Amino acid sequence: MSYEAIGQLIDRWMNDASFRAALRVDAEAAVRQVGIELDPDAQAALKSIDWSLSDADLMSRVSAAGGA
Amino acid sequence: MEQAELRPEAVSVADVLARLQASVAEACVDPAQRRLLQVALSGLNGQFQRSIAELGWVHCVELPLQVHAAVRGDCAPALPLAALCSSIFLGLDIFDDLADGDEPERWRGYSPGQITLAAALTANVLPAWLLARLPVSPERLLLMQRTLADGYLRMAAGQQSDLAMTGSAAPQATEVEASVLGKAGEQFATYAALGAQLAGAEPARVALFASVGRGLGIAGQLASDCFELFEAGFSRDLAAGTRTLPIAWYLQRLDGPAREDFLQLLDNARSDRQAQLKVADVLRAQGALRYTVFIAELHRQRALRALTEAAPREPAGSRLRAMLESVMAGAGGQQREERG
Repeated sequence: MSYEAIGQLIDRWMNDASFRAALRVDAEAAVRQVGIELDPDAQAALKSIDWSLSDADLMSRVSAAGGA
Repeated sequence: MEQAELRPEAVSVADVLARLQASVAEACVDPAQRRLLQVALSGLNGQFQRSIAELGWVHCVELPLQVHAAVRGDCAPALPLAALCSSIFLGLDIFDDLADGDEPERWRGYSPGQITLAAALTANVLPAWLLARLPVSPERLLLMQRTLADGYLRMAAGQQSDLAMTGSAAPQATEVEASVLGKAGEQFATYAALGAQLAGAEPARVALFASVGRGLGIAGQLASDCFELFEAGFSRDLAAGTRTLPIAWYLQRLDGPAREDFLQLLDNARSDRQAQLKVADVLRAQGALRYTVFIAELHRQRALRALTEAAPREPAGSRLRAMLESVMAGAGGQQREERG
């Protein structure tokens, strides 16, 4: 799994406002444009996550119980 | 009526608990042993109700039932297996409580040795007793025994790794993820694989359903870890010095004084609520929440793909998909589309 690439993605998300904006419009294109290479599983996660959510909104949608 | 038309919901959590109670009554060799196991079982309904309130399902009940229904179209024959899986879950939970020094009130008056005995009986002995009584061929029983033994070993390895990292100054994110895979992922994978094997699925299809369970377990545990760290009133993980993924990911990116400062903050957070809030703020500001949600979503997507490949019968397939959706509750794409 491309952990390093995912770390790069998150770093960019945290530090680059234009990247955040681009990610909200077209996540795959935004990642491709900055040269981050994700494997297919990470690509699927990238497409699935709603990048328009704030941290608080994101957290409110994460289950507390987690099934366990 | 054909099997495919039977409703998987025909077996309830109450049915599973009743089967487990009946098994305890039948299996125990004397009244003292029965009393010990009844105390152990008395906490299970509360845990099930909490899971139902939060997610709408109970993993050790729904996974074997729904996977069986996904293969065969009905879940009723998997009732004893759901009882078996629930017993494993209960035993592992008691072991967890013992490890954390966090025994529930129902154990008042019982020694650690007695509680350990109850954990061993529910995690290992009662499941073996139930497995031996499943109405399946010796060949299939052997396969299921092997799945169970392999699952135990992987779960134990995850727990061992988790314990070894407690309070660690240098946990690696990949090590934490491997520990989550063992503790939660392999537990869920075992329940799903047993359901598929009981239903007579071919090995390749059993492996796919195991992947569904594994992804569900990992994503769920990571989601739960995030909730504990960022939302709960008091983080038991921080208090116990547990190195969950957000912490490990951030720690491995630090060095020098910044690293020492954060380790000191983690140490303070074991007993200081304000320090806990500070840890959460720092991790959120550094992207650790985003990273962990991304990894959880990655495992959830992997499980969804495996579920599609497994070609489940309906309505069990939809139920398993709904379980996978509930873990991230809309952090992913489907909810975004619904919101327009």
